[in-house]
Amino acid sequence: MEHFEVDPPTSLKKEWALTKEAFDRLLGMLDMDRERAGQKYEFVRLRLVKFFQWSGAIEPDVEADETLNRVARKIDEGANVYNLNAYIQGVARLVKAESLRNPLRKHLDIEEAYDLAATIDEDPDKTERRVCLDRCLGNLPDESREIIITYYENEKGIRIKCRKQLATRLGITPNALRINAHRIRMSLETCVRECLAHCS
Amino acid sequence: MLGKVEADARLTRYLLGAVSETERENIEAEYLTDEDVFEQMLIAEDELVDAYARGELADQERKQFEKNFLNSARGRDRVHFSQALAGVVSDARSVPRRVSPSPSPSFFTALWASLTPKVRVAGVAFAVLLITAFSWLLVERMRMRTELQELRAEQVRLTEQSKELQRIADAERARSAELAAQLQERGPEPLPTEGAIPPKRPSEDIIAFNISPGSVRGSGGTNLAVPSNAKSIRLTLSFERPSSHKEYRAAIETADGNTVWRKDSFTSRPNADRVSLPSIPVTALPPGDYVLLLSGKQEDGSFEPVANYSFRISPK
Repeated sequence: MEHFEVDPPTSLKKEWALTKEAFDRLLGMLDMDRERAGQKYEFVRLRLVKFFQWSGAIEPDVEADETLNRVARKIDEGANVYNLNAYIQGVARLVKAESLRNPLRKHLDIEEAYDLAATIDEDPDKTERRVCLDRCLGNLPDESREIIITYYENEKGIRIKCRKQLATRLGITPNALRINAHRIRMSLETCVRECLAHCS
Repeated sequence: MLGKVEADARLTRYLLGAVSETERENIEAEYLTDEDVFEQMLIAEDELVDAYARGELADQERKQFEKNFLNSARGRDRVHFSQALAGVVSDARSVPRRVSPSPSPSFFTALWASLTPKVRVAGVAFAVLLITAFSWLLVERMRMRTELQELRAEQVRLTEQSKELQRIADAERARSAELAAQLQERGPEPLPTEGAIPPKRPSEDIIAFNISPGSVRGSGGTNLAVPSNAKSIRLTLSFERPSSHKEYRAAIETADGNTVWRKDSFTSRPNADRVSLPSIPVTALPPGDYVLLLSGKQEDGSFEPVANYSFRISPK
């Protein structure tokens, strides 16, 4: 099994390192309440990870952290940030632009993509993932488990009809069911990821 | 404003890298600032990854997906999760309950789901009203049914009572006819005169007398000869003029004023010219002189003297 791994983009590595004080200032700008600020930080980070992932980044987590570090540094250096979200968005676009210009950033060409597609069915953690998934499903409330299984069962042709029936049975709209199923799936994925990390 | 399907298609095109740079920046600005749009992006990503894992993407889409998603460990991890989830669901589907689509919801379930909250509240209120009205009608019907049963029972009771009275009347008529026949066989009998009258049939133990008012105490009055075998005496008291009283009382006193017999209440038809006393035991009237004091009941309940009857009991 060939793994596709790339070193973190070295051009993004800066000499400045995130300090506790700078991180606290960033959290303070997200929310005055420390706990709520932590939750907002995680949410902002997830958005950035997805932003970089959907932009084709090889290591979206690294680029998301780089973005947040730069924002924290600017705030620590006394920059006047009036709209934090807009500021983070601007820094993220800058990091993305730098990443695209960096010759070390490796984009998949079509041949490499085919190679990866050929091996995608060979999950190195297949057995452990299945065990973890069964365990995480077992930990779900009955209703959530019923929803996730019913939502994803059946073939494409009748899946839509089944989902409409499920929404009717639950007394919600199909879109509400879609969001509900997505949230359950997210919690399930997080559970499996943590379970796999524990196994390895 | 895009429709739901078009909006989903737009997000999918973005995820597959099939949008212009301008549209890409617009979509990024939307999901980086709007939480709902971001969640819709995540859902679109779920569905795209699932479609790829299940082999449901068209050829062009599959190639775009592989180019954009499989270059990061995170993207490959998502595909592996989706494959595992499909496997679990497939196994779960082998359980009969989940093999086929769930049964179609009933008409009412589907109707309920399609209603707005206001209409649902109105519907519930209407249903409660309907149930209350139906319950009241049910209770009222039960009450009327009970009353009907009682009336029927009363009707049956009255019918039986009527039949019994009819039966008694028939028996009385038959007896009257028999008595009339007997009287006819015996021929006409002389009317009783004042003083001793022959004892009435059928009982020989009773001796009957008809006496008139007057005869002051001590004068002896009407002589009533009582046979030795008589057990009781039946007195009929004549009036000087018809009496309007309906109820009477009578007392029999000896010559020296001792009450030997009395009857506090007995009735007669109004405006009669005579009244009959209940039977008096012979033992109560040994030979001697007596006065019978007859009083009539007035409207206010008090009694007023009607007449006095003097008579003498003597052995026959």
